[in-house]
Amino acid sequence: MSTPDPTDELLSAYLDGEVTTDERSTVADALARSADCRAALAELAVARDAVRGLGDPELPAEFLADIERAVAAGRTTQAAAAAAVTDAGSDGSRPRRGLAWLAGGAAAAALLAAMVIPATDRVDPAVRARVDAHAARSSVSDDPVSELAPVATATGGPRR
Amino acid sequence: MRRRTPWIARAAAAVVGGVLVASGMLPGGFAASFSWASFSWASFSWASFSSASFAASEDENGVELLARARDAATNFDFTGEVVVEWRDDGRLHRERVPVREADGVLRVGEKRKIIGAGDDRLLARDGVWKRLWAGPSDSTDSELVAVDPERKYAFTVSDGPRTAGRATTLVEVALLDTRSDGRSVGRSDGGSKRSGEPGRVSERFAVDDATGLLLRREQLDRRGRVERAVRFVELNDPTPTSGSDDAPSAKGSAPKEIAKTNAAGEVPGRLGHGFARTGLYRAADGSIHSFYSDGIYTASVFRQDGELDRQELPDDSTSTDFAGRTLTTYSTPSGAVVVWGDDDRVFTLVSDAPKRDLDAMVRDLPEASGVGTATEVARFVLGPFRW
Repeated sequence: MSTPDPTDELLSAYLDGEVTTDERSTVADALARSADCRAALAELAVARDAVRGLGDPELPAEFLADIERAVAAGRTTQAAAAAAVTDAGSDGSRPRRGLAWLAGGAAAAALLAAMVIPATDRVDPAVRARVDAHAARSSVSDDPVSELAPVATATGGPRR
Repeated sequence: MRRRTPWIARAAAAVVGGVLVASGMLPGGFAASFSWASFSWASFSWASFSSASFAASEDENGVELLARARDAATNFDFTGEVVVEWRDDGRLHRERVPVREADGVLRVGEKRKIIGAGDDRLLARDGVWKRLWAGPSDSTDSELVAVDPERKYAFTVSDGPRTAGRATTLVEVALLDTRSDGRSVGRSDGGSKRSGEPGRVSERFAVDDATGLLLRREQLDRRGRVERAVRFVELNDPTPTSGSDDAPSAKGSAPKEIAKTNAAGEVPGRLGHGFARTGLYRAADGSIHSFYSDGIYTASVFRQDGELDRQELPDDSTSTDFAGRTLTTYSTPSGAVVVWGDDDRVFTLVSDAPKRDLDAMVRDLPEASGVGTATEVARFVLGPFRW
């Protein structure tokens, strides 16, 4: 009978060096034997490195206000959820409360992820400015007249 | 063809020049631009400058003449006018540009004005001088290497065409050891100088016999047509610079020289056929500017973080697919501009090099994003929830 591959949780702990000697041995055996296991570990490593390599995100100017709004909205949602649970669940049972907490936790995790993983900004390539910068640098080490005269033309260069 | 200067004569000139540099006898602007990289050329130039005549030496080879021409522009006061020509979409464009050098300050242009003073470069915009560049230009990047153009090109010196009514010496530059595909086999790995038959002439320089000023530079295409050119059509009595003036005050931040970058793998130390990085800078907008040279041509690679906003691209472009990238290209009087990017990075290449070199440079630069799958998935899922 074949041994099952380690869980993602165990692989993640293995990546972080947070496994016991026996667990390390288990993972090592699985990696040696299973291509799927090696692929899973590689994916986890990519995801982990992506998050660690992000550095400190630059916070938008409206960051604090957005957080306050999100927290207020969360409170409202939780209050509504609690009211719904109270209304519908005549007994206010522990499992339903657990579901509400789970939903809240997921929302918080999504909020955190949205804060941590950076959005890609659209950037202006600033073509004309690049041409000017190149000519300026070239004119320092090469003949200044023949390097600077082309960028001094009124009609040449990208029209923006 | 003129014979080359014996190495012992060049070495002696370098020593004499070095002593003069050390004793502070050089003109102000000249000393300000001194660097170890240009030591031998600066010394040679001063050895020539200090003699009674500024005439080009019969013994100078092409490389030395061009090196002396680079310095001559800051050693003489003059006024004149140049014609700039460039080919775009098959049409040759032409525009006249006034130039004036006085007390070490070079002023170029009328509608679009640029000033060069020492290593500072200023551009007039809306009546305000904006700083384009600020010295020193010598980078502390430990990966920088010296560029020897004679490893890639053959230089031929002969009598040149009269330009702005003045006698010149012509320096023609041809690629060494060209293959049938037009690629140079000139080594860029520090190997010994290549020998071989020169190919077609790709660049012509006409140097003023009396002053050493570069009066004409032409780039030729495969058919020998002028692709780009700058030539004096008027030059009034150049005289040795007697003073040293300052550039006007300017606004804005110039690019800052940096020793290294985390994106080093994306801006390699060597690029294309024989181009070496000779400067590394961070621009005011955060982009990384890598500057390359092969001794004749130069190239700048700008790397920005972010997704290319195509709405911001100027309209007069050509779009081509090349080496796995969609390139947006422009032809300008200064050279070609090539822009490409993906979701995470934008590259802009600016160079006066011929197309064969541009193609090789683009191939050496990154093609696609290095961001992992997990991050791509996360961005896709979270995209709608961004504020």
